[in-house]
Amino acid sequence: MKFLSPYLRKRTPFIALGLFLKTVSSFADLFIPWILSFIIDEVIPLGEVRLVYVWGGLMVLTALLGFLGNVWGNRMAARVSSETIKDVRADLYRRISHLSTEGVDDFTIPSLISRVTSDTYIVQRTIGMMLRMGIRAPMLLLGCLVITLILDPILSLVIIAIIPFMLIFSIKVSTKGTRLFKTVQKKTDQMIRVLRENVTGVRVIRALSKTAYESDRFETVNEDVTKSDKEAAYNMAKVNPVISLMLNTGYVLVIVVGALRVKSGAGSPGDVLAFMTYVTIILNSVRVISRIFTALSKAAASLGRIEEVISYRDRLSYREEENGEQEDENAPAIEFRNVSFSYKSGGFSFENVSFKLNKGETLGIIGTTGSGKTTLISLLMRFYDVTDGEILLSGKNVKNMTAKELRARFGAVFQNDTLFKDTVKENICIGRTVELDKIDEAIRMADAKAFLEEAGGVEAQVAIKGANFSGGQKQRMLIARALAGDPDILLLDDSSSALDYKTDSVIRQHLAADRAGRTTVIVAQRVSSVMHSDVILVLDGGKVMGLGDHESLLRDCPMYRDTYDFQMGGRLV
Amino acid sequence: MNMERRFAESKLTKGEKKRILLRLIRYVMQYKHLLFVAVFFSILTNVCALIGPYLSGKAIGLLESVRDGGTLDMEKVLFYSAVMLVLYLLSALFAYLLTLAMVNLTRCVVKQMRSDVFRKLSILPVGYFDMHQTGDILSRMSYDIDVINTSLSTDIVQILSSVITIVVSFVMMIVISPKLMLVFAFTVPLMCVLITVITKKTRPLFRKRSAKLGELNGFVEEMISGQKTLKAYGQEDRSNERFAVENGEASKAYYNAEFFGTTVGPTTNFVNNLAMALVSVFGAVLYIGGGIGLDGIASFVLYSKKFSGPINEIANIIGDLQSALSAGERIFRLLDEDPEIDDVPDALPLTDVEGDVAFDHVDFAYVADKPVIEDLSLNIEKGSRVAIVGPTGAGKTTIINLLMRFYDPQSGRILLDGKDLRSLKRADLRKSYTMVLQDTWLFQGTIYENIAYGKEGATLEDVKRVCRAAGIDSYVESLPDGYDTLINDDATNISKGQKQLLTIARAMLVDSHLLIFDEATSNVDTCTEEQIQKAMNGIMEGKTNFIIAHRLSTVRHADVILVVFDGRIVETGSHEELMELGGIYAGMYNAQFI
Repeated sequence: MKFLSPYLRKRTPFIALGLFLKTVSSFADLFIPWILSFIIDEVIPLGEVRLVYVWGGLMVLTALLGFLGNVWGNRMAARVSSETIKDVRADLYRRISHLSTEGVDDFTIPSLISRVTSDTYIVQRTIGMMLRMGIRAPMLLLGCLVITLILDPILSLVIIAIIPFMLIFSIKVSTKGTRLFKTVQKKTDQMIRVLRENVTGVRVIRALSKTAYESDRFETVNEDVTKSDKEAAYNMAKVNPVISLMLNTGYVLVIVVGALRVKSGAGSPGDVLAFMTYVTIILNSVRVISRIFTALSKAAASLGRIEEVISYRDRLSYREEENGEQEDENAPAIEFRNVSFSYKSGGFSFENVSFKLNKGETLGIIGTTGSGKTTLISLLMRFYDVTDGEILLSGKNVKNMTAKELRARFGAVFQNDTLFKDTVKENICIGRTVELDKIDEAIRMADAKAFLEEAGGVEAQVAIKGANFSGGQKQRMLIARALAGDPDILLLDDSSSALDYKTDSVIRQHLAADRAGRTTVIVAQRVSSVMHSDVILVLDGGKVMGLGDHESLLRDCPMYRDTYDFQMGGRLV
Repeated sequence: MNMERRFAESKLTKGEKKRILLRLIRYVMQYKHLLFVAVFFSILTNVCALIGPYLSGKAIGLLESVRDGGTLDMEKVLFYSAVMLVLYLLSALFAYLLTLAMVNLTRCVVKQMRSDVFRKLSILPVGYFDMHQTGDILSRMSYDIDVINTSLSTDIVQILSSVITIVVSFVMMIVISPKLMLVFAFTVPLMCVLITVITKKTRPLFRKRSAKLGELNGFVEEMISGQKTLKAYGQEDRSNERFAVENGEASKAYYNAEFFGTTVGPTTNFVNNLAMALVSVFGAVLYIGGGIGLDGIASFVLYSKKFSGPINEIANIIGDLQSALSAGERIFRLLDEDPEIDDVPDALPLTDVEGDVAFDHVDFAYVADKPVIEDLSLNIEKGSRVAIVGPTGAGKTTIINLLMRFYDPQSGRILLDGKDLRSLKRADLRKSYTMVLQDTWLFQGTIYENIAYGKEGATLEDVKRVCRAAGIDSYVESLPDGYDTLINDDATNISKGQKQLLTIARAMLVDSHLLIFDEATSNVDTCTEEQIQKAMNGIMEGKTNFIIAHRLSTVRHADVILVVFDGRIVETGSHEELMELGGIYAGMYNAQFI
């Protein structure tokens, strides 16, 4: 909760005003039954109708005051909750957009998304609820207790006596309930698992005619869920009747005790009637307060998840200003010097990788999934820091560059790269100012001209994740994006997997013909995509298995030769 | 929350709502006896509870005598109190029984609904699963049915008790004082008008709020998923600016909706207080005029509180029902999907398959006007190899969908051993294939169960035999639990390649003359890949093979090559024929050596 206070402090006047208004309205609500009791006990015996109207008018005015206080108090609550969350969300989003890749890995993307969307929403709702009811319910509870104590201290003891029973009962049932609902959740997960297996394996199941078998399997888990769900519901079924019974017992006790008080001359009939109303208000407040606690604990968990991201400390940070170190024109465009790396989570590591790539050359990286191709690209762009060794671009260590300086060199297409919901043009420019003829040229080189013209040119809309284009078309747009900025280094990570061999080769020829000093790194699983590179790096499980050109690798690297034979069907040529 | 859901989901037309409601009722009516019991207990519990205010009024009336200088008949007060206590006790008991009945009723309904949904899923055409996201299907089974469950278990009780409370309170109040009832002739319409006015005002605001929130969430999802790209192009600040705009709009829409939306509670509270004030005033005036006793006023005040309770609830119930109807609509829409067409009445059983397959002028399209296959005629003799080639996502699974009758062609025939597929029993047809797909589908169970899955009564010996043939036996036996090793969703002890080998072993257990193989190369290391290839070569022996091919060697040695491009079959023929043709295939083939 401490995390929220700076955000809330900015809105102190509104919060104070809101709470004040809610307090006023709570008092108004409490005043009404008191007036009723006053009318019955004091006004009626006088027999003056005029006085009744006066007091009745006061009651209406009180109700109106309560109404206005309530409405405007709620509006203050709405204002505070919406503006507070706006700030929290902005801070959270800003933090995420500057989070290092390692940080993103730590949290995972789906979790980050749900923190921005659902967690902030839960907190927002709870702030609103707290400001609306968090003050009203305790106020009503306390106010009722105070008024009843003034009206008749003995009678109020009856009410106070019931509260602990209600609390103890609620807590006991809900503790058991939590346990039972956990079981229900577990069984539900099992049911969903069976269902998921059936959906994803539908072809296998149909092909093997196992439909009836699967139906039985589902019936078993369905039966299980229903059974544990029933058990949990039976437990909860006690709550309302017992609470009502307690409340009603309170009523009856108020009447009995009240009657005794009236008999002894210590109480009045009007008080007893007023008490009946107060009992309801008190017990309802108790219910609301317990609801507030549930909501609070849920919101606290959400808030914790938000805070965790905002206060996350990145290990990797960029230099703020350029250090003036000059590049060396003659140094290799890319150099890995004894680079070792392992992920924080473990599992995969590089050991002592070294290679050089001169300006204007093309590096092909080949290897199976998990061999470290993508990791190598990530290190090059400094999404992660090397554990040991150094990576130099034109002789300058990537760690000595500002983020801007570093990123401006690259044009990259990642594996499963993203197209955004925007125009084709915006997707290619992606915020950079790129001249129109540069865009056209990039589109031509990516062999995307024909289908883009058909789609309506560069102003055509791209759907979320580029869903309105085919896999191959998406990859070609992504390549155009990477080329549009005229980068020094072009990174293509598995950017041709959805292209047919022919398109792939056309693009490769365009790139080769018009390279103008551009250094290119191509990551692929197909030998045909990398075999024309100046240098080919063969990776397997984080180890360099071969480094050299096509001919030398065919000769010296058994793994490369095997892959080549395998994919190209033996030495056909 | 309720409000917001209500407004977000009230897109159904009146007629649709009625139909969905009727269908939900029909589900409930399957358990008439439970419903009857519930109604019975509901009447009992409410009536017992509603006698309370009458008796408390009587008791308070007795207190009045003290004021007039009389003595209080304490015995009578105690008597009323005792009766009340008993009635409240009974009411609580009946309420408990009512809830038990409802729990049984709703859980039966929900269980039935889940069974129906599952049964439906098992007869839906495979295309349904291609067109709907898994998450969407799962959420119908979990979220939507849950919503109905909640709504049924609370709303039915709520509606029953509201109706009973309103009727009984109304009658009691009329009996006590018809004149005081005039107060409600004023406040009830007032409440209705106010609520209608507020709702009219807020409905578009809440809709806008949901829409804006949805946009914001969509934006966040898109941007965070693409954060690597944004970073690579240094777009962090720009995306922050764009987020600020979306965020501002969403916050504003939230505030606007809440600004009016939160007046509903205070308004109903106000009208109730107003009613209380009016009842007090007119009650007092009547009392002074001698038209009503203190007991009457007391009872009336207490009944009026009961009376307005359900009216407050109505807004909530309507909201709940609205969500339940939307959920019901999604479930019924699934239940109403067309199932896979039945086998023809005199469908032939299929035994002793030889493996001759023929396409006879086949036309096929997933969507009208977008032909995938046009006038395809092919003869595939038993024992031959058919390779299907083309880039990722070009529609290579279409042929398999047709062969196994996951889809039927629009015109033309596909023949197996000279028999039209449509004349055969579908189950037999599918069983005649061995299938190894790229998605290695394993379920949570032991290795033995996963492999034996395809063949009823497969013994451990059988399983061991195929594992040996697939070359995975030594790996399985090296596991501590051997063939009893449990495979989980998050199985980390087993690699993708090994999973693939297990599915191959499973496929080997099925004796058939036809094989479908999706030759996936990308997920496994070279060593495993060779192992898979070796295992597959073993399976392919003597079968008619359909291979989604990724390797040139496979393609070159195929008897027939189907070239798929942009979702259509563009060329067919052997390697030599296609090279001679000089079309797309030849272009693709040559391209890799350039």
